[in-house]
Amino acid sequence: MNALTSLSTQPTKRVREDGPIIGVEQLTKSYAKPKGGQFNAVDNVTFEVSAGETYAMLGPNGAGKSTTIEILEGHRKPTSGAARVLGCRPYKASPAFRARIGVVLQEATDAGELGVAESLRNLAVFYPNPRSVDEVVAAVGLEEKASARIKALSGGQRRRADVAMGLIGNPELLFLDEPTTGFDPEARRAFWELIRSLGQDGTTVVLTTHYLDEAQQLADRLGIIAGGRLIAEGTPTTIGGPEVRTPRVRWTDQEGRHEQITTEPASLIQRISDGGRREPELLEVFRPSLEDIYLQLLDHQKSVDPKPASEPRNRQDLP
Amino acid sequence: MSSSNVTASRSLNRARDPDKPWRPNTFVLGCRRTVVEIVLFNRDVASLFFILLFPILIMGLFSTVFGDEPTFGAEGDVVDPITPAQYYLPGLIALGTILSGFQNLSGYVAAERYNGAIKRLAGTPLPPLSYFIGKTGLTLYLIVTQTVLLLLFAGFVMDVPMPTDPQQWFTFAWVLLLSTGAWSMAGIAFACLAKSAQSAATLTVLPVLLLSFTSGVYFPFHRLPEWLQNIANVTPLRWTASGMRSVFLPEGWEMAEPGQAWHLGLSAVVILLWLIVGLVVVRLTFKWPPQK
Ligand SMILES: Nc1ncnc2c1ncn2[C@@H]1O[C@H](COP(=O)(O)OP(=O)(O)O)[C@@H](O)[C@H]1O
Ligand SMILES: [Mg+2]
Repeated sequence: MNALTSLSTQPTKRVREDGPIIGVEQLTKSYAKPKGGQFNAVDNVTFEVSAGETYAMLGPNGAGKSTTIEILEGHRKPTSGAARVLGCRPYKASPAFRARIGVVLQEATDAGELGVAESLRNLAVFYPNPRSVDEVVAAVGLEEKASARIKALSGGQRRRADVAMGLIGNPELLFLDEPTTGFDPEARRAFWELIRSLGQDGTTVVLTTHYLDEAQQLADRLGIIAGGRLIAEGTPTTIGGPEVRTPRVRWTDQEGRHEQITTEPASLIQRISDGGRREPELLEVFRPSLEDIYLQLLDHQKSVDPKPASEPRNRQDLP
Repeated sequence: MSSSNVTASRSLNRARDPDKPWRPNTFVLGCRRTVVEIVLFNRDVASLFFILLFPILIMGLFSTVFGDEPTFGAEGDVVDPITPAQYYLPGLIALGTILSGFQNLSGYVAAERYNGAIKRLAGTPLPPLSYFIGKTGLTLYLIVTQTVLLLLFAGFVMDVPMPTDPQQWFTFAWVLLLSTGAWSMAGIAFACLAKSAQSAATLTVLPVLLLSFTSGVYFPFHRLPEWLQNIANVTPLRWTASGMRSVFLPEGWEMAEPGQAWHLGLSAVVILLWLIVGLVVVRLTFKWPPQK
């Protein structure tokens, strides 16, 4: 995506539908364990995404991100709970529903013998209002590879082709499962630009990632998933609540290094500096970054729930 | 690129009747899929060569080994002997139905189940039926091309006499299509039951090899021991081969068949039964979207 051109805007901004475009309620997906028994890959998850929003699911490997997003795409059937997307139950929904969504799967190795533009043309005919192939090829920066076979692309280029295939149907709701895996830093920045331009067009975007900077850059709101549970939700600047963002003051004196969490850093500094007459060594005031907060939340989750992918919780209620 | 044109045509599209939900045209998309399948298949030169030319290769090979004199006679010399090429033609056409229908489809569908191709398509508005129309189109393309090539080779290079009675060509057509259909269903069902793309590719060779020996493709069927004939009698290839023999072997050769008759009705029944069972198994095992 070296020469990124943003996709042409819609004639009018997409009509915002009232209420959430995605509603997930107490969603659970259980799989059989290899040694028998069941575990919940997605465990009682509830969230909403409104029209036009970019929502990121952030979590470590195996957290349940793909399982959740594939339930929303209609690729997997929930074990219990409800998922509603664009007013439909996505599993086995009609072609009219599929025409309104775009899907970029976490991994696919298909279509190797097809050319980039060719595979996009083949997909475009399935949709009522597809985007132009040239436009989409340009948007993901693959102009020079438009006629190359997909199997001849590098990992990152192949991933961009996948993104292009998700965009070709001109979806109003786009799902991206770890879209930037294998991108070089430049391509990743260009991809962020592309997603922002889609967001400005009114396209709703749901993406999963384990890159914090990606979530921070793109998401209007984000949910942190670990062990199948949604452990925190909010905007990149509010997630985790105000407590975890309380400023920290660090300094060094004869007794050694100190770190203090305080809502009043200025007065603390005044005290330790004797009203400004003494300079504390190595003084810093900082607020935890999203990364600090994320790691803190995961730690906390582990301490309350040492076995993340748990037995169904209502097990112990059974006779 | 004129993006104003793009947006203009798009808003036109959006202005369709809002009360009528949009539906894709299953048949048109099926035809598009057919074109894609054929283009893709033609790029796989090794498969193309194997599927399309294998029967010709075998016919050429047998003619080299057994000569091109009329040395093949029926049991008891009830009729004039025929050339090895004429003798092998019906069996090789029958072999084509299992190559194009079963071997090709099971390999491709299994690969598409495991490499994400079906999952990708299931995420688009493409109806699953269009996917099947595409597979049917590809199979028809293969079986027709393969058979035409073999007939041309047999007729012009090996001087095999062709039937002149339209009734015989009619028999030829229904046996060919019904058998290919039955084998296609078996191939897709096989692909759905396979645990990996690799195991599907390896295992499909087995039925092709075994059945071609038990169905009178390479040896006269009546020379098989009776227990083997009984097993072969419940497989479709045996009935495809005998149906094709009724078309391409001269009159009198039915004396060399079990029961001294072609039993075309029985051919139709057995092949149709396989087609129906295959259809049911596919219906039960083919998942769109792939199940997880
Ligand atoms: N089809 C499946 N069968 C059994 N277990 C599965 C299946 N799909 C996912 N899982 C398990 O569910 C958990 C969550 O997986 P996934 O949603 O892919 O995680 P993520 O995308 O966050 O890395 C993992 O422990 C994974 O092994
Ligand atoms: Mg994943």
